[in-house]
Amino acid sequence: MENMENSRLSKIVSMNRLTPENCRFSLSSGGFLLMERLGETSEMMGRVILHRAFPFEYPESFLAVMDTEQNELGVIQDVTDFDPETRQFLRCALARRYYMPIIVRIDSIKERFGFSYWKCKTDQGDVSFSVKDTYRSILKVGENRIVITDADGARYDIPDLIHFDKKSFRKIELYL
Amino acid sequence: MAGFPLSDGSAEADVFAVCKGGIVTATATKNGFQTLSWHPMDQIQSVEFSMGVGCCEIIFEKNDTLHTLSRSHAGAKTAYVEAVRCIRRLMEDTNSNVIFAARMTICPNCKRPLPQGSSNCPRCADKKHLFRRLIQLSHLRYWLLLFSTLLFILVSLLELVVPKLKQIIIDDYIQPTNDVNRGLTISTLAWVVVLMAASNLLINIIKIFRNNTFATVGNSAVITLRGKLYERIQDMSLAGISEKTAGELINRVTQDTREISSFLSKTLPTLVEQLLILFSVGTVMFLYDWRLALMILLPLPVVIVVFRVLWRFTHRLYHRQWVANSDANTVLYDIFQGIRVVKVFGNEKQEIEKYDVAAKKVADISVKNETVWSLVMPYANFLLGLGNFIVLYYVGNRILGGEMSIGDMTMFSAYVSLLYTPIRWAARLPRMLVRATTSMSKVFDIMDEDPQVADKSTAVHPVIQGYVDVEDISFGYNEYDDVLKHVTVSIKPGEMLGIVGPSGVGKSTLINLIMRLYDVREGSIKIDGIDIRDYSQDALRSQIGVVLQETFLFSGTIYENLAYAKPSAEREEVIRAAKLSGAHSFIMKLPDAYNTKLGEMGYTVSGGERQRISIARAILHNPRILILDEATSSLDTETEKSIQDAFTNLIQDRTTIAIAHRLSTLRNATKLLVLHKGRVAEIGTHEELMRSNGIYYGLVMAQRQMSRMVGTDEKIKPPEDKT
Repeated sequence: MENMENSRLSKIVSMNRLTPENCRFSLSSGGFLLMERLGETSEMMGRVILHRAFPFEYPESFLAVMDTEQNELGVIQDVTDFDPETRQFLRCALARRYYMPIIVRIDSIKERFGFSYWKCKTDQGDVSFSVKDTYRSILKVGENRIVITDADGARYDIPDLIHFDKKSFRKIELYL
Repeated sequence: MAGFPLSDGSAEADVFAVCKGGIVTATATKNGFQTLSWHPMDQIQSVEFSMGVGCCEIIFEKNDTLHTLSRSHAGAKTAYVEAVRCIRRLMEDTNSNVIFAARMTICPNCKRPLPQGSSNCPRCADKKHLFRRLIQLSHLRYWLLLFSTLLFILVSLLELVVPKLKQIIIDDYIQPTNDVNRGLTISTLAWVVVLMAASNLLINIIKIFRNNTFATVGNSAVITLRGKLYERIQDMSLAGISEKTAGELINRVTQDTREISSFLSKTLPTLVEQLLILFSVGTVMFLYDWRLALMILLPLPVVIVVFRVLWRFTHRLYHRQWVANSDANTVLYDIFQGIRVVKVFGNEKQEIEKYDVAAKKVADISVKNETVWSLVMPYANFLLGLGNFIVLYYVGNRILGGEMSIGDMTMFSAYVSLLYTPIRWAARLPRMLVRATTSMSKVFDIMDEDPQVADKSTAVHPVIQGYVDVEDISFGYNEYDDVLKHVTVSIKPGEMLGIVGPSGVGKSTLINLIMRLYDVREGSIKIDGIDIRDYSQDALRSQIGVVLQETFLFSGTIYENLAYAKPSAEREEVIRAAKLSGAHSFIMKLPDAYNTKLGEMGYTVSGGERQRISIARAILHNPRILILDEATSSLDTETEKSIQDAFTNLIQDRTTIAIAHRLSTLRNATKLLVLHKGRVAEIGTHEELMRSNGIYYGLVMAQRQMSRMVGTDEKIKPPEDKT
């Protein structure tokens, strides 16, 4: 009984690291990430979703691989564990799931009635969005990095405040 | 519907349209749309909405392969969820009439987002209309304000005469410029001085009256507004309130209302006065010497602009200091709040360092600010005062040339000083306006919010017997993620339903729905055959007793907390309820017994005592339906056992719905409902479920192992299972 308890506990805490030795990734015709478990018996796990454990600190490491029922199948320590082709697949899957344009320049921020209306230029094009509770929607996620969440839940990244466009910084300074 | 194409080009189309026969996808070109593909509804095997981080997509299955229909940033999620719903309906029945009914989140007028839960756009709201509403809401006694303003204006006009009088005194009496003696006597001088004194006195009396009026009118407006706002907040449903923090709501009721009423009762009338003074003084000065008047009045706009720039600059500095200060305070607050944790982990040194860093930052910023301030202010002051030197030169010239008298100069100076107040006002006005309108919109944000759970006009208030029927309900706190899916269960009076399942599966949610704190999205909950949405909320709440997981006790005496459910209860009733729940014994051990004050300054109850008070509170008004949400979780097994016995009495003839993690609490249950992933996995009695060897069996065996490991023995007798 003791051994059963220990092995069950260790199973719970084990990282279940996924490596090229024990699994293989591929992309379906629709562009979805598929995983196949390798070993004595190969098992097709079907469509999997990647989830970053440290989205702001380690975007390409500690990636949890989950099935469509949100069960964790394993963890990828780092994308570089895999060959370049698989790395592409993984990056594709991450790009599908995470969308956070980087703000390059803030054209204007107008504050009206508790909302603030932003017009920015991002690496994905020009955007205009509204932020509900401005002070609380700007999150400091690193030494000089902030993430802005708008009223719809969309997110925008300013990775380096120090090297950010000076005029734009002026506009956002009061909210920091 | 348009999907915003994400630059990796992974979406199949820019646009897709859902028709009865199928889905058509297209892409936007220079000349319009070019169709890409057509997916007949009968070929679509499944469709699903998938939420990413910052984006969302619709995925459908056709010919056993998955495809993305459309992908967009998070803003499209409401529309996408609704589209998926429509597609699913059409998949079931191609002829069904689906109406795309996503809640409007954007104002149709200005395309800006609507505040959550409200259908009024703050930007497009006619401001004048808002003002009128405010005046009505706060019962503002505007006629009083009007009267005091008019009076003040009249008196201010009087004030305009004073500089002229000064001029007369100086030129004709003190330093007569002409040798011509106009036959004036000391007594006339005396009269002029008396006139001046009298008008000054009158002005000050009126000022007292005016300020008094401002204060009384303003205060009564604030109190009325606060009352109405608080009432409205109380009427709001749980869903609406939960979105806002307590601090926010407190701010709205206390500060925003004061901001608004002070604007209406003080700022506006004063604005009118000051404008009039500015205008009249300006006119008088022009009439006297238009060149001098121009020289004095022209720089005024410049002065105002300089003020504004200065203010923005100082505001920035000040803000930075405020933020640093606030951060340092947060560090302190954290440390003290969590001092136990700090000490347990031995992190004192780390925390001291953390605070040092924060405090140093405050010091650095303050020093920097002071330096900047002391460097900038002298120049700013000089610039602002530059005009004075120019005027002095001009006036000096005129006096030496005999064109102007000392009296004239005194008069002019007096007029200029009269201008000082209106100018300061003009500079501050934009800021005040912004603050007032922001507060206004925050207040109306709450006043205009559509209550999510509302009584129908035909709401009934019958006496409940206790038949509860949950019919095929689905619900989620989020629009795209259902917590409960197609749950059905029935309970009769006298029965006890136990809800079991892993943490977070939706047990508390089910209870919230039965209590009608939220409305189901699909299906219905009926009590005694009537949908709970047809009941008045008062009818429900007064006949359902609830013991929640978080036992919140108000600051008041123990008796007041017990009697909360039924303030009109007799003392014996309350004590009986306390005895039933086991609270009476510990209360009588306290020196002040039932009069013991609870709360921060009073006696702090232990977890078990809290729960016993909570249970007594729930049963006081003898409810037909009793809901227990992990009601005995804080109690030790002995106390729990004693309450169990009480419970057996409690639940007779009552419909009881209970959630418990400890399966021993559910041994009284007539029926057990096992939830798994939001759906009903198993229903039955304890014996039936143990025999079926399913999820419930697994949970029971796991708990028994746990208690064996911990060393306490489960007192349930194991059923005759043949394992």
